[in-house]
Amino acid sequence: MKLFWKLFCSMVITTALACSLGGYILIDAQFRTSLDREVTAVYEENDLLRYTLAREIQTHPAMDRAGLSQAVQNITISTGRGKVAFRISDEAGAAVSVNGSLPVEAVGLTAGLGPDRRGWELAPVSNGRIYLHAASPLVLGGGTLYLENCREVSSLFVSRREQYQSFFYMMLALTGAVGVLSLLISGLMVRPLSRLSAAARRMAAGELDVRVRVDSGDEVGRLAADFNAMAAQLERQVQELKDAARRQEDFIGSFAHEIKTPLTSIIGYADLLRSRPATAKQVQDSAGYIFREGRRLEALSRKLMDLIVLDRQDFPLRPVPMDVFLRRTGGALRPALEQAGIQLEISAQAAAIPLEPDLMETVCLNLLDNARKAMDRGGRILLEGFPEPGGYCIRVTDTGKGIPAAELDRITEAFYMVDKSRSRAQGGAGLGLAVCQRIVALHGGAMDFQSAEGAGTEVQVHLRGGEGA
Amino acid sequence: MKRLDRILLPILTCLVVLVALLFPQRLSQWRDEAVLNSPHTEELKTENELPTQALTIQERMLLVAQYNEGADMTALVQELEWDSETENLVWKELEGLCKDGILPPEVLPEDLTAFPLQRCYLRSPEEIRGASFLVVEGYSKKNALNLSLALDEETGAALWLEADSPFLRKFDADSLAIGSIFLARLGLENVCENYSPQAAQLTLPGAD
Repeated sequence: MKLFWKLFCSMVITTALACSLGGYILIDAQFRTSLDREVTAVYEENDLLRYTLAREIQTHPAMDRAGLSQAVQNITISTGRGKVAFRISDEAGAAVSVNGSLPVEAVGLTAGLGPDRRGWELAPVSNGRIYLHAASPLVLGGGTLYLENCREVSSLFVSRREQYQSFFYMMLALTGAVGVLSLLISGLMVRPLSRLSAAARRMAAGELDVRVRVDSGDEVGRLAADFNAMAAQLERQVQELKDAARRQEDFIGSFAHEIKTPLTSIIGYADLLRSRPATAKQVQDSAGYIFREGRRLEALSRKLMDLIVLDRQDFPLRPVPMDVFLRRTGGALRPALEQAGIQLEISAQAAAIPLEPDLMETVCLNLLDNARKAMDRGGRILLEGFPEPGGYCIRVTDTGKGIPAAELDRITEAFYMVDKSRSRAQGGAGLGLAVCQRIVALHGGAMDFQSAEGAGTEVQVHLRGGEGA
Repeated sequence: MKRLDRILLPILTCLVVLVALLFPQRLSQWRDEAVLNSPHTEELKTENELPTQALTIQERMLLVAQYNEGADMTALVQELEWDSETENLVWKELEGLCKDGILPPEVLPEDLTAFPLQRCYLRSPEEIRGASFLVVEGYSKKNALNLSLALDEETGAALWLEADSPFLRKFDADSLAIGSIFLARLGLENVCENYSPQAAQLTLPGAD
């Protein structure tokens, strides 16, 4: 059953029960109160008559039943309703004296009374009327008589029946009105849930960008907001998964390509040597090609191993004096750079930074090597190290040909090369910066690239911790 | 089973509404059946005798006035036999009223015939308090006089008085004086609200 109908039925049931109970309590309490008031009034009339007759008996001690009967005839009692009829009956219920017409029998009530109890009963008579019949004892000459009077209380029952009839129609109308109102309210309450349900179905069908309107701050509104947050997170994660899958495809494609190229050369030269006699120079040249391509494959596999190992291994970090570290690392490349006509300047400020020195040396050497490769006809490379808020910064600046702005975002992807032919010619495989980024990430740091085509490139490695923290 | 689940709540709702509509009256009728024709008795206590909570003179006067104006109240009227004690009480009060100048002496002719004496117990509907009065009505054939008098049974003082005869001389007593004397006989102070020689409206300080 739909929630809409559950809400509707609940509201109708609750309203009907509440109104029914309230109506019953109200009408019945009013009836009981009125009845109590009538009982009090009929007792008062009875008290008044008994008092008057008792005084007569006291004044005339020798009074017999005939005298009492005469006294009864001399009494008239009237109220706002008119004249009150009363009767003196004996213990058997037989009338001794009657003043007016009493429509109820005595015996039913007086049989249960003694000389010291009074009572009342509701007595319906044959014409459908209901009388409140009261009786009290009256002692005369050693015997007990009963003084009876009554009040018609049919109007109380008629009034209550009319009230219940009015209540019936009112409640019928009220239940109908509440039913209509419940339909509207249930519809309003369920509508946001229906929207959520539709949105969930659309999401399941693949529309991850679907969102629902948040109309209120109540539980349903919060549910809608949570749904939107969940959808946004899901969309982001799916996008990340798609990007990761794309990168993985690119990686596999690039890897296959990078493997295939040297293998093709190696197989080609090996086949040449195997298929026909060759001169010593041809053998030397072929062996040279095979050796270089083999070395390239070796370098490729080493870097791939680095990438795999870096992901799976914990490296202990220890404080390293950065000025000494940078000078040593830069100094290792200085001869090769000077030979290529490149001037290396090192400016390192002292600071002890927690790092794994071998890995960080790989980062620095890769960055310096990339800077070297970016300069064809000499130039200048600046290797700097300085503390910064929260850690230490290693900066490598070259005056090479720079990187196009559109490609800056992808240069740390594995096998990505800005100039593929040139990189391969220089023995590169597009894995250097990918390895650098993994190593820096292992240190909790980040890399930042800025470049201008024709002017040079600046790479910053931000390391955390140490004295600068 | 699924179909039953779908229709169970609507059926239950209809049943509940039906019960809610009809049950209250039925419940009242069940309670009535337990009450109808079933005697309810209780011990007759002393306080169930006539309530004797005392009324002040002002309240008694008010009760008599309301009764004469036909107000909705319980009134028990008992025809009494004249006895010498009551006769003396009534005659003495009439003489006192004449002596104080409230009534002219001619209202006491020797042929004054008194009708049967009545005891009248009056009780206000708002409160369970009442008072008993002796009501005397008389007629003098000689003067064509109708006399009506209500005496407080407890004190014997006249609280209500009416005398009317076309043949009596004009009684030119001052209305304010008559009213003041009448109230003074009862020990009541009064304040005059409205006055003309024929009628005076007097109020009792502290009375509502």
